[in-house]
Amino acid sequence: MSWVTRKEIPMAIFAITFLISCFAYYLQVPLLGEVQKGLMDWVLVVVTFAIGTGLASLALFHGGRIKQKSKGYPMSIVIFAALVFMFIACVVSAEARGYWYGDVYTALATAMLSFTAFYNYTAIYRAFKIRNSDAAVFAVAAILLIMLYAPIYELAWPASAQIASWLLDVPSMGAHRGVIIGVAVGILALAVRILLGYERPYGG
Amino acid sequence: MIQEGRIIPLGLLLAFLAVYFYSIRRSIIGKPPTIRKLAGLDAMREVTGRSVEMGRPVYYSTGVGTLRGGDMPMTLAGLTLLGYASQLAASYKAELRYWAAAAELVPIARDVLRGVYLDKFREDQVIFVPGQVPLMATVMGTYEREKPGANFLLGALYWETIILAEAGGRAGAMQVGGTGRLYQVPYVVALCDFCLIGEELLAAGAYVSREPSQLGSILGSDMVRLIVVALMFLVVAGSLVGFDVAAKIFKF
Repeated sequence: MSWVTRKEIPMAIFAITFLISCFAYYLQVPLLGEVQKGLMDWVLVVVTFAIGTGLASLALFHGGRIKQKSKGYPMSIVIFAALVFMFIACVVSAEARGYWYGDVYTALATAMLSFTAFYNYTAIYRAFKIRNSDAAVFAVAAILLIMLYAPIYELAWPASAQIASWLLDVPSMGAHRGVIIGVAVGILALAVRILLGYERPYGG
Repeated sequence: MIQEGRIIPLGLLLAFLAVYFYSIRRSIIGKPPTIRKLAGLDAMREVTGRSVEMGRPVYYSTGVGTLRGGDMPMTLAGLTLLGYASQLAASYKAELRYWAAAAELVPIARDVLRGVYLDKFREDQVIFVPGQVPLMATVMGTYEREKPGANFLLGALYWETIILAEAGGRAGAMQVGGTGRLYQVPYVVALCDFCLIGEELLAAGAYVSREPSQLGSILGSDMVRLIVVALMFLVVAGSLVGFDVAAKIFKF
């Protein structure tokens, strides 16, 4: 692929779309607004096409596992079977799609989320291990917040809720706003770098 | 011509852009600024090297963030660092695998990895796992079986952070995490060995490249931040003397 195709064209697309989207927000020009709306529709179209690439990647990964008979490869066969089955269910009727997606998949996903609760507990244990002074501050603040959301502690020690609320409303909120300003400034810097072609996250 | 209430924001945007262009130009023709060390980025080499020495795989995720809306800058920064991490892995002749949770990331990640690994690139280095719950389930199972030595979580991370980082931690992986999403920052700090908070992730591309043009943009960010702080002082001082700057000037 030529240098122009790999560098110049993506840069030009980014610059044009960035400027249109940016000025459509600030300027009252109906044409700009319409073009920006069209661009947003195009984003959806491109993303939908990308699903095909994603499916190809999925097939290559699991196909490779089946071919090599890697550990747990029968699960890859299940993935292919589920893919074909869901496709047929969606084509056959909206009812079948609703049942298999809404009643079966969603229930399984919720069960999976519940399973992750065990990971949360061990993560909390890891987070609460006091390794240094920062971790100690983290642990004390976290314990106070646990006390805020469990009413029994407020009943036993009313000041605990006030301390926890103050932590949330004052130091935590201040730090949050500081990080938000930093992120906003960082986003602007990143946009300028990409706009000028100094940073190209999409290869080339 | 200009939307009502957006004159001052547009003026500020143009002023900030001018500051960036000036700082980049100054950095290119003059002396590039010295920037502080970012432990999280410096550690990427050590983390990858350790994993290779242990003979364990290297995994990378940008979370379930997409290339749309507010996630985009963080995901782009994550993809920039994917290039850097894969270069490190390739220099040790190790294979890096990337979890793509959004379809649009698959071709980009492939392009990035193909550019680094060249003829050694394998299609299954990019693993497409659509959606948050399937990603968490797949990662938990894979890390339990394969015991990765390095786990990178850099991008627009959502609730999957805690699971991905905990799965890595249980597997004994050394972890580098970074995001600008506020509600995930505590998990990253608590569970990862090295972390990048907020703007550090967005400045990572400039940091690892060490190019004067990119370092200039970091100088520009500092100058813009000073302007923002000065404006905040102006608003506070105005309020103290009974003049509401925000309501009377920033309304335009």
